[in-house]
Amino acid sequence: MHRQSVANVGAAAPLWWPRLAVMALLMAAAGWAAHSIRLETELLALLPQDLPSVRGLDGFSRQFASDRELILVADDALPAARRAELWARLRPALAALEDVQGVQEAGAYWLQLAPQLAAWIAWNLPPERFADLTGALAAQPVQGKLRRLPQELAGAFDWERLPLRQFDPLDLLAALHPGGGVAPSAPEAPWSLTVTSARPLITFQECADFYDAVARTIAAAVPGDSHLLITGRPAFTAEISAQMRHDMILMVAVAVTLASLAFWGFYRSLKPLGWILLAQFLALGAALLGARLGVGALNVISMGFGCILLGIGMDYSILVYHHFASPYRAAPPAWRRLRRGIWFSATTTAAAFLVLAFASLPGLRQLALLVAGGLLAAAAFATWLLPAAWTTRPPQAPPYLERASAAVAGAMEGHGRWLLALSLAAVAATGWRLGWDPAPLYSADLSRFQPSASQAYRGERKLAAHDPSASDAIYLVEAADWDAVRSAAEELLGRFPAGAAAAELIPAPARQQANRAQWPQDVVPRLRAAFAEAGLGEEWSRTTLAFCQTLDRAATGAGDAFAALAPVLARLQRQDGAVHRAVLRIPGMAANPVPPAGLGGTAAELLPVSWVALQDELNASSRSDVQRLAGAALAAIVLLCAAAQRSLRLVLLNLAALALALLLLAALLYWTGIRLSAFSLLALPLLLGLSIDYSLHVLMALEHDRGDFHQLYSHIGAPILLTALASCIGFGAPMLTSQPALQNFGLVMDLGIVAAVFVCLFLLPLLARASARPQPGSRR
Amino acid sequence: MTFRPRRSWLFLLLLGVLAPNCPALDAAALRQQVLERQRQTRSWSADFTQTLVMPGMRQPVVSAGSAAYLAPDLLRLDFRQPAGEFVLIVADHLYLQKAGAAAEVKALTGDGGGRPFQALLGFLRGQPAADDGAFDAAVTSEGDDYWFTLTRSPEAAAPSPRLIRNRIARTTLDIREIFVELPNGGTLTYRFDRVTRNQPIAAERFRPPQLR
Repeated sequence: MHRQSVANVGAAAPLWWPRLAVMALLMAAAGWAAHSIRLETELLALLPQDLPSVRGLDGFSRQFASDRELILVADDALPAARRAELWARLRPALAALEDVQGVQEAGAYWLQLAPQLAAWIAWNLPPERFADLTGALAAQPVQGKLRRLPQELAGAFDWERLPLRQFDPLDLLAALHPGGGVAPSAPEAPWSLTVTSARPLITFQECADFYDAVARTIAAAVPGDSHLLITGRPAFTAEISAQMRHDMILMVAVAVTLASLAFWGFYRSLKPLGWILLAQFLALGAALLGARLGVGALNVISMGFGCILLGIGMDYSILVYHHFASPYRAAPPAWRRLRRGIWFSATTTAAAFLVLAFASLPGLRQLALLVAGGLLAAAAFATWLLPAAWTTRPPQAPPYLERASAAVAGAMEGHGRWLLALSLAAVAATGWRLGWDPAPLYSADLSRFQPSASQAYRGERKLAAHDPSASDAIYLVEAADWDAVRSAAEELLGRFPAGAAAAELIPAPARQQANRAQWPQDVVPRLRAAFAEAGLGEEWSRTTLAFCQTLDRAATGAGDAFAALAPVLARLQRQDGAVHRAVLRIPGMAANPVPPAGLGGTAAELLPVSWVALQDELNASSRSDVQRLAGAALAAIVLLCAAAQRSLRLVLLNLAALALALLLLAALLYWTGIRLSAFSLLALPLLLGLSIDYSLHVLMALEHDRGDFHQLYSHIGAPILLTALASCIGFGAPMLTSQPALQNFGLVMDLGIVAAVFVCLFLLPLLARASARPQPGSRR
Repeated sequence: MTFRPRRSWLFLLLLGVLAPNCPALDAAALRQQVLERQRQTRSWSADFTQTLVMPGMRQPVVSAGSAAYLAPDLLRLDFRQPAGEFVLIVADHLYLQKAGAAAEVKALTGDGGGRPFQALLGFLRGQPAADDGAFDAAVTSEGDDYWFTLTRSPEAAAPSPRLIRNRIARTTLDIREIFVELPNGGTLTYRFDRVTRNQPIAAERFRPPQLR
C-alpha cells in the first residue's frame, strides 16, 4: 500500500437503523441473560467431575455438610471464662431470631447422645465382640466391678479418669474399643457455637440475609467484640457473593480506567473511546447471552474473565481506530485487508480458546465459550459498528506517533541484531540455570491459593485447630447395601498401618441380626439392683442403664430404638434409592489419604474427601490437558496460518515467534520467581492464540511493505503496543480479585503477553528479514 | 467420642495460700510468708488422709498414707490404705502405682493427670501458682488456724471447683487441710498431720519403679 494524504475520500453515509436495532435487541437480550443466568460459587464445579477426589468432595459437601449452619468461632486469645460468658450472651439473642431453628455449643449433641451412640456402635459389632459385651454385663462381672469401684477411686488414682469412671463404671467402653475406652465430657467452654437456620439456605441472597441477621445480632449482643469469626458453608457463600460484587465492580472500573488512560496516552483523544467501549460492552453482552443460552450457568471465577474479554476485544477496535486515524483510511483495499486480518485474528484466537472447551476443567469450558463468543462478537462490532461511526468524521492520529514509530524503526535498523542476540542470550542463560528442565517453573502446591483473607476461611482453620478430628482422612464409601459399605470401610482401614476402628458407626444389618439373638432379656432390672446394692445412685448408673435400655429396645425390634440418633447419623450416612453412602474417617491420616495399596479393589467405591488427593489428581489432569490441548491448539494454528498465508516460510516464522515467546515467558517466570499452577498452566494454550495474533499482523504488514521497518512500525507498531497494553490490563484485572488462583493466572498471562508482544514486534521482524530473499525496492 | 480431661481442680487446691487479695486479713503479707517459708524448706513430710465424697455414692472413699518431699523436684505419696499404692514425681515424670496393676508413667507437665501434683510440688517449692483470677478469696481466723476460702467467681469456666478451703497453722504456717468442692457436687479433702520440715529423708525413697 502507498502512503496517501487523503481525508475520507468518497465515504458513503452509513445506514444506522439496522445497527441501532441490533444494539437495542442485544442489550435487551443481555439484560435477560444477566437476570436469569445461574451463578455458581462452588470451586468444585470448576474441576473435572470424573476425578475421584472431586466426586468425594462434592458428594460430601452436598450430602453431608450442613448448608444451614453458621458456626461462630472464638478467637484463640479469648480465655475459657470469657468464651463461656460470650456464648451465654449470644445463645438467647440468636435463638430469638425468627429464622433460627437452634443454637448449640460444639459437641453438645455428642454428649447428650453418648449412651445411644455407644449402643449403636455395640449393635453393629461383629457377633464375637458383641458376645464380649454381653459377657461383661453378666451378673458376676457386674457385681465384681461395682464392688471394686471404691478401691479404684482410692489411693493413687489418676484424677483425669474420674469422669470416665463415673460415666462408665462397668468399663463397657473397653468392650467397644479394645484399645481403651474414652468418655465424652462437656468441654469447659467450647470454641464454637453453631447457629442453624430454620430453612435451607440455597441462593446467594438467602445465605447473605441469614449471615447478615446473625452478624447484626452479634454486633448488638456484644458490641465492639472482635473475637469472633463466622464460618460454615452459608458464610462462604455470603462472603463470596459480597466479594464477587466488589471484585467485579473493581475489575471493570480499573480495566476501563487503565484502558482509557492507555488510549489517551497514545492518541491524546478520549472521544473515540466511547465508541470503543460501547463495542466492548456489546461484545460482553453477546458473550453473556451465549453463556446463558449455551451453558445456563456461570461460575464466579469464570466471570472474572469478562475483563479478559474486554482487554482482548479492545484490540480490534484499536486497530480499526488506528486505520481510520491514519492516511490509509481512504484506501478501500487497506480497509479490506485490515478487516480480513481482524477476522482471521479473531477466528484464530477464538479457536485457541475453543480448544479449552475440550479441557477437563468445566470452569475452563465456560471460559472458552464465554471468551470465544465474545471475541467473535467484538470483531463483528469493531468491523461493522465502528467504521460507521468513524467513516464520516474520521479521527486524527497525533503526529508524535509517527515520529516515535520512525525512531523505533531507525533503532531497529541500527541495533536490532543486538536486541535479538541479547534476548537469545537471556533465554539461553535461563535454560542453563534451569538445567534445561522446566519443572521448577511449576508448583503443584494448591495451598498457596487458599483465601487467607477470608473471614470464613480463617474461622474454619481455627475451628479445625481446636478439633482433634481435623487430622482425619475422610472418605465417602458407596455401595449397593450397608453390609458392603461396612465391609469395604473395614478393608480400607486394614490398608493403613495403624487402622483405627473408625467404621464403627456404619450400619451392618447382618451383624445386627446376629446380635439380636445374643442380647439377654434381663439386663436392665439386674443392673438396677446391682447398682442399688453397691450403694451407687443414678449419678453412676444413668449412662449404663440408658445404654442397655437402647439395646433392649433394639433387640425387641423397636423401630425407634435409635431414633434420637437420626440427626447425628444423617451427617454420616444416607441411602438414596439403591445407593448406600457413608462417611468414613481415619484419624491422623489427612496428610496421606491414599494408602500404599491404593483405594481400588473393594466391593464398594471409595472416594477421598481430600484436598491432598485432589491436588495430586488435579496436577496429573492438568499436565495431561496441557500436553493434549497445546498440541491441538498448535495444530489448529498451523492449519489456519497455512491456509491464510500459503507460505511455509511464514508459517515457520509464526512458529518461531511462538517458540521464542514461550522461552522468554519461561525466562520471565524464572527471574521473577513466579510459579505456574495447575490453573495457570492452562494459560499456555491461550498464549499460543495471542502470540499468533500478533505475529500474523506483523508478518502480513511486513509482506505487504516488503520488509520495510518504517512502514511496519508506522502502520501497526502503535496499535499492537496499545492492544498488548489493553490485553495486559484485561488479563491483569483479575489480580485485583480476592481469588489467589485468578491472581496467579492474571500474572502469568501478563508476563506471557509481554513476552509475546516483545518477540513479535521487535524480534520477529529481524527474523523475517533474515529469512527473506532480497527483493528489488525493499529498504534494508 | 472424644475424651476431654476435666479441669484439674487440684491445680487450684492451694490457691488459698497464694491468693493475692484477701480482704479480711493481710493476705498478701501472709502469702509471702508462706512462700518464703516453703522456699527455705529442703525436705518436708506429713501423714495425710484423702477423703472423696461423690454424689450418688453411699460411702466416702477414704485413703491414708504419708507424703515426702525433697527439694527441688522429688515428691512421693505412699498409701497405707489402700496398701502398696504410691504417687511419685521425679523431675518431669509422674509415676502412678495402683494395687494389683502395673505402674504407669506420665508427663508431669502437659498432662491433665499430672497438673494437680505439679501444683502441690510448686507449693512445696515456694513457687507462686499461676493464678487465673477465677476465684474470690477471703481469709478468716479460727482458733489456731487461718482459713483461706476461695469461691468460684461468675467469670470462671463452669467445671472449675466451686469452693476451695485451705487451713494453715497460725504458728508454723504449715498446711493442715485442703477442702475442695468439685463441679459435680462431690468433695475432696486432704488432711495433713505430723508435719516435719528439713528433717533427713533418704533419697532412695524416690527411686523410680521398674516399668514393664
